[in-house]
Amino acid sequence: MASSTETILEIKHLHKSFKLNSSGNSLKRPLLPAVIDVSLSLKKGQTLGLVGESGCGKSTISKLIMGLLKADSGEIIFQGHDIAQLNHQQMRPLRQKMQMIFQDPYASLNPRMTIFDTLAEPFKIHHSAAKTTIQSRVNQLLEHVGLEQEHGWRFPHEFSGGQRQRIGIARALALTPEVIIADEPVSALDLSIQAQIINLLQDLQQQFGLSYLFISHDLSVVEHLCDTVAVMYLGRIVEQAPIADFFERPHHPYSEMLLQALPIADPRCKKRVIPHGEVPSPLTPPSGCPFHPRCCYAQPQCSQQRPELQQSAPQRLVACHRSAEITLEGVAS
Amino acid sequence: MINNHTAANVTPPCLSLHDLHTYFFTTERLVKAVQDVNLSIPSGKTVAMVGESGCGKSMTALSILRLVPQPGRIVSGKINFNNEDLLQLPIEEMRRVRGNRIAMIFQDPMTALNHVFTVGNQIAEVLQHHKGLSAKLAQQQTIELLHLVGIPNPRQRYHDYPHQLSGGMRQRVMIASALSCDPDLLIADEPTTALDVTIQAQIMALLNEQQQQRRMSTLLISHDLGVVAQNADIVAIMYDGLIVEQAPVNTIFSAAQHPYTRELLNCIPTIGQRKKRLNIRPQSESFWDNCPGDFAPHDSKIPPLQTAANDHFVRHWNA
Repeated sequence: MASSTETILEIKHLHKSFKLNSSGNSLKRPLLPAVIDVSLSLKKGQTLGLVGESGCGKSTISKLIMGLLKADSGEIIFQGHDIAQLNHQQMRPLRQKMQMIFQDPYASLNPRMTIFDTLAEPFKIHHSAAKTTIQSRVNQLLEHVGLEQEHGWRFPHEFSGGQRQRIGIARALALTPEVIIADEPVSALDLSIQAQIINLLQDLQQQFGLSYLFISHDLSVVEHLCDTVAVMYLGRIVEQAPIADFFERPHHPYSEMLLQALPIADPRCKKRVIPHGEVPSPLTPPSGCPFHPRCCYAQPQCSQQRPELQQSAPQRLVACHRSAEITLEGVAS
Repeated sequence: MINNHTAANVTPPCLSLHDLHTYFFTTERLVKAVQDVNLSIPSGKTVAMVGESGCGKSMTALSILRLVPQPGRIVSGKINFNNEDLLQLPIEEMRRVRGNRIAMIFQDPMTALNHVFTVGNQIAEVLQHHKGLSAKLAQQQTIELLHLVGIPNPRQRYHDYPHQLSGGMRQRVMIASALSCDPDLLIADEPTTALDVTIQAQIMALLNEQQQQRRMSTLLISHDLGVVAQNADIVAIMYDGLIVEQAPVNTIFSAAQHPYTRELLNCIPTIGQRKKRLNIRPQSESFWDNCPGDFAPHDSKIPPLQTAANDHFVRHWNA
């Protein structure tokens, strides 16, 4: 499907911290680093998976790309523009080309708007369709996502979770975007509905040549949909790899932990290693390698010096002092 | 593991449901949330109920505790727990069973815990109420329990409020609270759905370890077939309020007979089968619409659950 290797979206050295409201001392508002020096690139027609535990900064990245948050520093290059530097007005035409699908299909649709109004709104805001053609454009959108025309006259509460997620996808498709950022689009759905949405996302990608940034904590879904995967831990990318290589042999101990924790739907393969520890608070990150307190391969140097993200093999990046000496276990396919 | 159930058949099961029906009498229509459920949980084993949202798995669990919300009602059936029918117990007696001999943990520990009491307080309250412990002794035991479920610095955490803990730690608190009275049966309703995979693995390991030490029986409710495959002994697949298939875990995953079970198994994105289309029925169609005639209900009659093999039951018409 994706023969071109043209980069459509590139992030360079992105940083974002949040100022917290500290209780008591108002002079010292603690700074929470959510995204630290993240660089990523998304190729045209491909899917980049972004995985990690809750609070690792995945969603912050998606909001930074969409311009919903302003980056502290770094570049976000889309179609030759550094969109991190653009103001609201300059961002507007580019926003059409980047759309977002949200996790919760219940919260992301306006309950007081019919589906038709929800889907017609993007055309009206961006004046991208004549009034007379809006009707047919909306019907076309509904058809793309497998809904009927008469669904347009209903309200969100009349739909099931899976159907609502289809509406969310239709809305994202309205302005014929090139990049879609999908933030946990299937994690709120039942297994069979999840499968429908995964199939739909795949079909639409083929049909429209979309590029996806797919944010998820479910590695089996990521494996199914993505071409490349980036693993985040405490705001940093710790590993980046082509999907097949990653699952066969991860290079970062954290990736191994995530893979090992994946419950396998086969009672014959029993659980091996139980991951230990929880993600530390980003306000007081551990010294050295942020993962070292939970890492079973950690050595004294790991707590002193933070490893840089470096190339470990062609197309693979890893931030680990010991990645060259240790052999980690993937998931047998 | 499959053939060990002969032993369980000799000792009476910890809990058995007979022809349980729980209906909701809404103003528009009658919703049969649980229909004809027959299930027994052998002592010390884990039985998993699997199905999509709205299939009746949580209502089955709430029926066991007689906590079905209005306008729902248990219409008929028997719930035998340690040789007594829970449905016949006076409400006072039932209160003594809940949280004591049958404990439950919920999907979302943030809503299940009370925000305005410290976590220690909430566990100690259970101990004082059910075991009649003094406040001091209850606090001591609570700290031991918190330690047992793997909460670091239990003495300090005792005084924490739920919002001060992470999701995984809150679920550990729920488990400590559920285990406080050493229950015979633990009902775990989607205990790890709200958690990250790493924490999920930790919580399931903790539950398994406690179950083995206490020889407790568990009813695990989940829609995650991975969690079920790794933790259950027996699996019951539910659809539309009915158990459509029930078998030991290995049988369900290797020799499922009901088309609905096969459909569920086909929905899992399996590692190593990249970008293949997942096998699914079209949206908004009920499973029964395209179900082979042998398995589908006819004229609002439901097919009976029949024995397919030892410990393997399938709901179908053919004798």
